[in-house]
Formats: sequence, structure tokens, C-alpha cells
Amino acid sequence: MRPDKLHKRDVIDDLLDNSWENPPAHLEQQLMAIPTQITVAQYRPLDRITLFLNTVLILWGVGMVLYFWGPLNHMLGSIIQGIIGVSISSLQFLNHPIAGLIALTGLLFGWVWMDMEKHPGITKV
Amino acid sequence: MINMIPRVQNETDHIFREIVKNHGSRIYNLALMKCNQVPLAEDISQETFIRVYRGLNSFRDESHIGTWIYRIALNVCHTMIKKESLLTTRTVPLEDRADLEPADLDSDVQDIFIKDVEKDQIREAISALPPLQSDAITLFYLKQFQYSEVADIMNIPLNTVKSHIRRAKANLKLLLMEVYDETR
Repeated sequence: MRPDKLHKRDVIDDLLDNSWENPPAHLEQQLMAIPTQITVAQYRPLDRITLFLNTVLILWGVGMVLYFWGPLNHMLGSIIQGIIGVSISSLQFLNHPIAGLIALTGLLFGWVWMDMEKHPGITKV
Repeated sequence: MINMIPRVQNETDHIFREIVKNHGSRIYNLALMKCNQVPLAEDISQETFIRVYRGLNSFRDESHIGTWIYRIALNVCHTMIKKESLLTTRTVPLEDRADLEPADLDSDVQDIFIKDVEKDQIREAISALPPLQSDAITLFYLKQFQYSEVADIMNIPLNTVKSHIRRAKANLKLLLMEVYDETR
């Protein structure tokens, strides 16, 4: 027995000592599989079809933004003016197509990244 | 040089599997004691060992590997249980009873009642303790850590650990007596 556990034992000590629960049988297998799962996740090559489809998706999204930027910009301006009640002249940078291009490209890259992240499933082995 | 990375990787995997064998059940029980939900305890175990595996290559102090693992486990427990909103709803009523001592409740009659309490009720009571008390008592009993090791894991003074364990036992006795009275 440990030197610092030589205190007077009572019923709580017994209860806690006997409260051990065996883990479910599948848990150890799942835990043992973690290195494999993480390795697969780290070294998983981006397959060509996914890369192609994601590129098409990004280009399509960028094209859509560029095509509809005028009305979209007008709509955003109206909404902002309606909500905050001031002119959007202070938000001039939104008028430039490059701003929309950067914003949507960022969103799409985020979308693609999430799409790639969820496949390995390392948090749920 | 080419074979260096796989060799190190294999060693890491081997060490990791040894850790799972030695600590897997205890980490699961630690999580189960803290949350009293089997699926959540499994998730906590997995997340803990994922973090352990990712940190294993950079971890050098092998003499304290047990302490390191259980510190990760406690952090994961706190994070994931908080996400489940269990801590805030269960700990409030017990804060007022933190000054209770085991001697306040000792009696042979109470001991006889408490022996009939089920494991599930024990876990429920532990998960209802204030976080520091449940951390201390769970580590002390499940891993059979010394007081000093519990203090090291929880990063608090030794006497505070002893105090938390003493109060946790008093609170548990009170809670389990209430459970027994309700179910009788």
C-alpha cells in the first residue's frame, strides 16, 4: 500500500476502489488504430478527380461572382444602407471586383479545405 | 538516412500502443467518472489518445509520461464535458457544501446504506462534484497516484489536493446517502 494512503479507510474508499468499469471491447481496437488513421490522414494524396472537380468549382464560383458583381454589389449596398442607415460611400472598397473576387475565393478555398478535412475521419476512428 | 523516418515512426507507434495497453482502461474510467456517459467517455478517450500520439514525437521527459497523459486527459475531459454543458448544471448545488469533512457524516448505519449504491450512482455523484474535487478523487483512486503526483497533474499544491480529496469524500457520502434515501 502507498505510504500516503495509510489513512483510515471508510466505505467511500471501498466504493471507489470497486467502481471500476471495463471499457467496451471495440474501444481498444479504435485506440490502437489511431496511428494508422493519422498517418493516412497526413499522407493522403489529393486524388486527381477531386483536384479537378474542386478546381472547376472554384473557377465556376469566381466566374459567377465576376458576372453578377454589379447587381450583387448594388444589392449589398442597399442592404447595408437599409440596416445601418448611412451611405455606403465609406465602404468604397466593396465596389471593386477584386474585393469580391478575394472574398469568394477565400470562401471557396475554405469549402474545399473542409471537404478534404472530413474524409480521414481521425476524430471519429 | 532514408529508413530513418519509418523506423522512428514505427518506434512511436510501438510506444503509443504500449501506452494504450497500460493506460487505455484507466483513461476511459477517468472519463466515465467525470461525465457518466459511455459514448462521451469513449470520445474523450479517443481525443486524449489522438493528442497523445500527436505529441509523442516531441515529448522527451519519459519519466513523467504518465503525468503528461493524465494531464491531457483531464484537459480533454474539461473541454468536452463543458461542450456537453454538464459542468455548469451539476456543480452548483455542491459548492456550498465544500467545507464538509468526512467525520461529519461517519456512522456505521450510513456505511451499510451506502454499500447498496450502484456503480452508476457513484459515477453520477462524482460527476456532480465540483470539478477540482472530482479531478482529485478520480485520479487518486483510478490510477492509484500518490498525492504528490495528483498535485503535479493538476498543477496545484499538495495540501490542496489532500483537502480536495477529503472534501470530495465527504460530499460523495452525502450525495450517495441522498440517492439511497430517494431510491429506498
